[in-house]
Formats: sequence, C-alpha cells, structure tokens
Amino acid sequence: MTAFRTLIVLQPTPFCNIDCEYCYLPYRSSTEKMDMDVLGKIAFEVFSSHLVSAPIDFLWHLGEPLAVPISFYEQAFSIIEQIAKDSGAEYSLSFQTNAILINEKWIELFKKYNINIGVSIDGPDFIHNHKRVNRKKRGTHKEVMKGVKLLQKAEIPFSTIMVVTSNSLNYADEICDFFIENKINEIGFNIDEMEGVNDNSSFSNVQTDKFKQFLSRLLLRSVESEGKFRIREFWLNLRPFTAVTKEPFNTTNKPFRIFNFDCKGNYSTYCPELLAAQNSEYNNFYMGNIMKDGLDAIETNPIFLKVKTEVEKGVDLCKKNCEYWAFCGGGAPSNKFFENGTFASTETLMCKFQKKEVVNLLSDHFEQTLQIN
Amino acid sequence: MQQAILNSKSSVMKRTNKIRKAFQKASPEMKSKFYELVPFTKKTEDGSNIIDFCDWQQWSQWSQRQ
Repeated sequence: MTAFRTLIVLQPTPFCNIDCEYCYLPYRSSTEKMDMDVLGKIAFEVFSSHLVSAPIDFLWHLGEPLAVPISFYEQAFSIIEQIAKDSGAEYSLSFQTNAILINEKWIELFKKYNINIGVSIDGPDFIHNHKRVNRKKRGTHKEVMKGVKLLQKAEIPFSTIMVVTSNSLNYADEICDFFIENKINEIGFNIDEMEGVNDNSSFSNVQTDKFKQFLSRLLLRSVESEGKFRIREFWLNLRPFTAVTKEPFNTTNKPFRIFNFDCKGNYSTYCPELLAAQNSEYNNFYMGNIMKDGLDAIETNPIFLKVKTEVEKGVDLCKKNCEYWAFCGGGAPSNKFFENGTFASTETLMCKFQKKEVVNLLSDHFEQTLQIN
Repeated sequence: MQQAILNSKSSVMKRTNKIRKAFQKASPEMKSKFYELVPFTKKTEDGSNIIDFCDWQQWSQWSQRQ
C-alpha cells in the first residue's frame, strides 16, 4: 500500500439544483462553470507536482456536479485521460451527487468512465424532506429515489451519505428499514455541522446518551444484516481494534493529502469545507490560483503557512490531551475553525459524537463479542 | 485535571489493546464477524479475509463529504 493517495476535489460549478437547509456552500445560485483551460492546468499541475501521490482520486463536488452538461465531462475526462497517460499515473473519478438529475445518458457516462458514485440522501421521505428541499421548500425524496433506482437498474454500485440531525435520532429503526428495504448497502452518517454559511448545528443541544442509543440500534442492525448494511462510522474506526498502526489515519489535518479547487482555479489544502469560508483574515482560505501560481507555490504561500502553523498547534493539543488520539489523529481543521474560531483548538461536535461515542460503542460491542471481562 | 485526562486516555487505549490482542487470537469465524462491518476486504492465500486498507483509504477519503 502507498503511504497515502491524493484526493483532488473539483468544483465544476457552485450551482446546486436544490437548497438543503444545512448546506455549508455559498453561491449555490451561481451558474458559473469551470473553464476547460482551468481544468487542463489543474490536471497538468496535479500529475506533475511532487506534492501529489498516485493513485489520484478526482472527486467532483462543492456544488451539484450533474448540474453541468454531460458534454462538460466528456471534454474534462478526455483532458485528464490524456495528461494521465503522459504521466503514467493511476487515477479514479468520483461524483458526490443528490441523484436528482440522473437519467439514462448520465448512466451511460458513469459506465463509460467507471465513475464512483456517492449519493446524498437522508433516509426515508419524512426525514429527508425535512431538510433536503428545493428552492420552493418542497421535499426532494421522490426525485432522489428515481435516480437511485436508475443506478440500481444499471447495476452501478454507489455509496450514500445521510446527514443526521437531532430529529433523525428518534427514528433509528425507520432509517435502517429504509436503507435495507431499498437495498442501499453502504452508508455514511454525518451530523449537521456548523460550517461555511451554515452557522448552527442541531447537535449543539443533543445529549451524548441519546446519540449512543441511536448508534446502538444502527450497530445491531448492521451486525444482524451480515454484511448487507454497512456503516462507515463503524468500519472507519475499526483499524486500531484489529492492527497496530504507526500513526492514526487522518487526511484532513495534514497538508497536501487533499487539494480543493473551486471553479475559478482558486485552491486550498486540508478540508474541502474551507473553500466555503468567506473570511478576510485568511483571504477566504485561497492558498493560490492554479492559473497564476501553479500548484507547488502553495508551499510558500503565506495563507497556507499561517493555517499550517495553527493546524499543527491544534493537532498537537489533541495528541497531548485526547484519549481518542489513536482513532482520530487530531480532528478536522474546518470543524475546529468554524466551531471554536481557531484551528489551534481541540474538541468539536464531530469529535464528541462521530468519534468518541462511536469508539465507546464499538469497544462495548467487541468486549461482549470477544467475551473480554 | 491533566492527570485525570491522561489516566482516562490510558483507559481507552487499555480497552483497545485488550480487544486487539483478543481479536488477533480469535478464530477465523469470529474475525469474519468483524469484517462483515467493512466494505473492503480481500482474500489471503489461505482463504481468510483481511481488510484491504488501500481501498479503505480511498473510500474513507471521499466518502466523508455531505
């Protein structure tokens, strides 16, 4: 296995065809598109930079990727393919989509280029329609399920992400039933986070016991499913329980493991959510522009150096003080910044719920399964 | 305060280490129960399942966005 692989997050457009109430992205009504010259320059720089390790994963996100025409991707993929061929590096292509615009033509594209698909769906309709709404505030569940059915009919594997709010915690079994009955096997649960233009989280007032109860049902249903219903929060934290590892796995708080490009070619490293920030002190976290600066110039960019120093301070504090260090490796910088006002800080809502409570529950489960007293 | 945190840190890791040792000694049937939670496993030459951490890394990197 390579030490790490690089994730390249690309924003084809900031536009989104829906208007989820917890979305952290600004400019969701802007129909601007990434220019092919910008994409070509990104691909060239990415495949030739000493900061990037192959295999390289290109993820189209930070807006609804299917909101631009199929011809955009035919052109973009051909550019990437040509540059990759010259460099000899392996790469993969992924979309994170709300699935509403999927039709037979998109299915053809997904198959032709072997694209990894991630679908955002918040479980059954009565939960999903609460927050994942269109601009007229109408729920989008029915349209999303049309897209999901097309993927399934075409036998295209996909994973899903569900944003959990405090309201969802009352419906653990209904959520499991929905995913299992619809044969949706791979699920990740994100709590609604305070990030970008979304300045509040329903988890600010949630008791950890309530979340643990919710998680317990999910774990039980996942175990009972014998591999048919797998939840990211559980397998993601399994590693320290099964193998001795040199350092915790964390891609968001180390530079250059992720590069994020907006449609104008502005870029950052660390969490993609930083590109959603509007902050004058940090120049909106732009650590360069691909057309003006190339990619390797990030190493001497003053915004990058300032962020790096602060992120390292925060990670160091986590290492010294947090009992869950081996599972986490120091948290996500964007959560720290948006919740605590500084990267040089420690606990966030994500740590409290998605890390600590998950590890506690898994420990209970494995002690019981392995009959450890 | 600092001491309390360190003691607690040690207790989380003590639990984890105990589980890992028990896991490593567990039967293949028991291990496969763990692996059922993981989307990426691969067969070794002796036919048992192990976690494919390369795929695990790829999946974990891009699957975390909402």
